[in-house]
Amino acid sequence: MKKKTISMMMAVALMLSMTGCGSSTKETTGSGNQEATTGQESTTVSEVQVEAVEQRTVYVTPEWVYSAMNGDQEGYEDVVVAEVGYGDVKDCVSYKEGHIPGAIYVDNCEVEDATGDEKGAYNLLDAEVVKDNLLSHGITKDTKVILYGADASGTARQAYGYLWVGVEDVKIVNGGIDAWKAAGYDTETKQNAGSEAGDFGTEVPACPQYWTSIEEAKERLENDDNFKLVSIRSEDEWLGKTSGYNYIDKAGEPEGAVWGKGAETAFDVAGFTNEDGTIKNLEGLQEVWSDCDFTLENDLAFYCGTGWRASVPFLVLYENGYDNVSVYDGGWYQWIMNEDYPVQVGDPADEDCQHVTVADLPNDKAAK
Amino acid sequence: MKIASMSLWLICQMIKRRNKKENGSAVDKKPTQLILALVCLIIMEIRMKKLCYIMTDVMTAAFLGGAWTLQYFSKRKLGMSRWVGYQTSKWKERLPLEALRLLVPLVLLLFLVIIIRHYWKKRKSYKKIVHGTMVLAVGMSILCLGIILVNTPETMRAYYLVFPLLSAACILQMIKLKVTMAVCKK
Repeated sequence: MKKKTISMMMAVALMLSMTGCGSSTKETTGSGNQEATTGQESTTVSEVQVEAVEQRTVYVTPEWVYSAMNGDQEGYEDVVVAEVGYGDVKDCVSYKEGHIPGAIYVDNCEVEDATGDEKGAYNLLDAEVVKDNLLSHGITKDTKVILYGADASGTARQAYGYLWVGVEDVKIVNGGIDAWKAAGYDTETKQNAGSEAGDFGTEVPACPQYWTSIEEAKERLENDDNFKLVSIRSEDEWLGKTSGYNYIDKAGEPEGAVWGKGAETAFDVAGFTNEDGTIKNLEGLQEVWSDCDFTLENDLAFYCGTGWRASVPFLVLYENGYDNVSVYDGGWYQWIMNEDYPVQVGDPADEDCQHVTVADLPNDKAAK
Repeated sequence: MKIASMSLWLICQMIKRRNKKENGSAVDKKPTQLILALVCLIIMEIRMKKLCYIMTDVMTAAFLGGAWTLQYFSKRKLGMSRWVGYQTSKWKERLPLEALRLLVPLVLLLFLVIIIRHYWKKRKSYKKIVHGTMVLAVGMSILCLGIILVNTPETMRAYYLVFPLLSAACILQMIKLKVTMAVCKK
């Protein structure tokens, strides 16, 4: 009886898959999904009802992505799904272990500098270079891009770079590959590559307003009361106890910065993450920021060490329609390259907060 | 020589001890400790050469393993990659890395050629172990130098951290070979 039921379910699933149109899923291998193994319960594919989302929506559910890949979302019949990693595809363990079917691989180093020298400072690359890298994957300004990755802040960084250069529709699978698998969807191990595109479709960067330079950050901190430079760093980094990084010797914050919380270490955005690993929505972030020294009416430039963690709140506010937000890309890393730049060490609300310059900071605050 | 002198001293102590016994004086327990020390010394004298030989290879393997690990993780881990970049920039401030990058392999190559030439001239006077050591040392040195010369800081992220480890491995092998040639003659 059980075998008959399973056979019937498989037949129904086969019929349903054959009637779906424009499916972009590739041949899959791996576990999960509806192929039941003998004597075991089949994994249930998520049957959450999926609604359409707006172009500006960034964080989407795996169910929405699945329905888009199956052509059930109008305007998203031809999406490019990409896993974001650091380094070459052959060095990316998570991609090789199993990725969303059809997903290509994109490297963080295609949008940002990897040298960390004075010129690059781990900032976004020149817009033309980013554009060329996008075109090599077949991504133009009109491409519907869906990103995910093992690192939430790295994925956010990539999405931020794409939006800045001009890709109009960038989404992130909220919860990453773990959420995809938890929803019962298959993964594959076959490596995919996009086909090159010729014309990006717009001058780059199309959205320079999303990027705040170090000069602008300093100038606005001094002269613009409505401007808030929001630190998305851990408490120890905020208080100047540690730089957070083993490659940054000095600790502190730019003078006048306010704390936006969001991180427990230099490498996470735990404060902005739900228990299930998804990024919080706007309400969740507002709760985190309930006692912070800024409001959403201010002109906000988020920053962290080098721009990864800061990209997360930027994207959340961006998808909720806020245009008064940007990322101060250089972060603490670039700030300390300037010996005469003002810094604060400690909580500005405390009397013992020090107000010095970069040159006065000790060089023993690198993370061990 | 050490063993001979220590044996002589021990014999003198044993004679003194026997004389004390005959005279009825108290006898201390030093001779047992001395005998043990002599035995250890004999073992060390025989084994030390082998120990040094093996330790050199172990250290070479450690250097190579360290170099591989550095490069492996600097390609995959953001934090490691940036730390490597940071260390490299610090070293660049203090040392002429670009010049050393070319100079050190050339010097090592020169030493290697000299050692090979020296070996070739006197190859018939060496024991078999020297020939095996020769092959291993030269092979290892060529491998290390090859990696250093073929790669650049642009192609290998951890180049300037890997470079001294590979150079050290190369030097160790050459020292091992030279010592083996000096010690293991027919």
